[in-house]
Amino acid sequence: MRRIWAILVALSVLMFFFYRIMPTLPEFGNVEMFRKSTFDIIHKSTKGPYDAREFKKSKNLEEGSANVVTSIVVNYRSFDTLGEVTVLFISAFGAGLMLGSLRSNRRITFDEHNVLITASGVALPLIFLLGSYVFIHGHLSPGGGFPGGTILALGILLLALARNDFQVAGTKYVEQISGAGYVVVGLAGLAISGAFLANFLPTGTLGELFSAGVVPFVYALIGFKVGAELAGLISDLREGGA
Amino acid sequence: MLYDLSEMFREALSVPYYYLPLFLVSVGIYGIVSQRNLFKQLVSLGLIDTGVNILIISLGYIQGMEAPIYSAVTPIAKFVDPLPQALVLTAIVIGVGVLGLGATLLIKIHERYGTLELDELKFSKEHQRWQEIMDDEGDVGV
Repeated sequence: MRRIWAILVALSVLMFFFYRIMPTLPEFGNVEMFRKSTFDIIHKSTKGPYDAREFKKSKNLEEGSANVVTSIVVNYRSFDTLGEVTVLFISAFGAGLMLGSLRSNRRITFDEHNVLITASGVALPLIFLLGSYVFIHGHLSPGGGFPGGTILALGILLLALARNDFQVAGTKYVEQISGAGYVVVGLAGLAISGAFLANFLPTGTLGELFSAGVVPFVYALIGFKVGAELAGLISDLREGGA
Repeated sequence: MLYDLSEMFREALSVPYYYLPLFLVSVGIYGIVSQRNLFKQLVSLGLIDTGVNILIISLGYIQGMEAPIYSAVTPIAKFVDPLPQALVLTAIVIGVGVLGLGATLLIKIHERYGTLELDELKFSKEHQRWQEIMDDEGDVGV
């Protein structure tokens, strides 16, 4: 009986979306970019007139990262990203608080296996290398601070799965230092350029590693912060509040 | 072979992606209403989250355009809309936070009541309250 009700509710929601929301959406794959504000963001000319940009040729733009999503996340909407990082911090903090108040010790133990222990020693440096590559090249290639930090935390998860006595320590300090570093970068922008989180370094040539001003630094800080938060969450869930 | 694969990929992209998020959201709503296990309800919430993310991304897709990154392959701007992708990046992170905090709450509930099934949970709650009343009366007696 409950399943029938569930099917009816799901079908009514489906019908509502199909007949009320779908006709208001634009035709799939046929959006007019020239009418949108993101057209200015793509061509990195929100203040001045439109100008075509080219890879490895355009210099000293108002925003220099080749990945346009990164330039939105870390430059045009950087304050929003600061709030997003804060939300992630609060949720990891709440999880740690709640798991710390458990009465019983729910720490998971298992049989160690030699293959996984040896292989984790080989794979861990490569995983950390990939993670740091992803967040250092966040302004040039797909990726950035959030996926890079997640890859770092996955390395920690591999260690926690391989060794029974593995314990994570000191994630709080990494998290606090990188979170404070983000705010310090913002305040430096306020002091030098006159706006919170403004890009005060030269932006360089589009598509080179040392370009885009503060964006690589901010994304490295975000990567460390997200990695430390997720590693702390993994550790909390594994220890179960001992 | 590679050419065929990219051709297939383009054909798959030409199907309107609005149907996939609709399907995912209705499967998630069905799961939340029909399942009586709290963990399954949390997984259904994650399904709805994914569906909404795909809907937002597909709103910014433009036929024949590339990913919004200036690179050696796409030196000049011929990009899909990057703003929905940036918003979805935020939404994914918030989704991870919700999932982690929800799983923690479920661990707490399981510690207190010993089950995650809603029917057993109701029974166990009443049982616990009854026991507390009995304990109080016992205290008064002593």
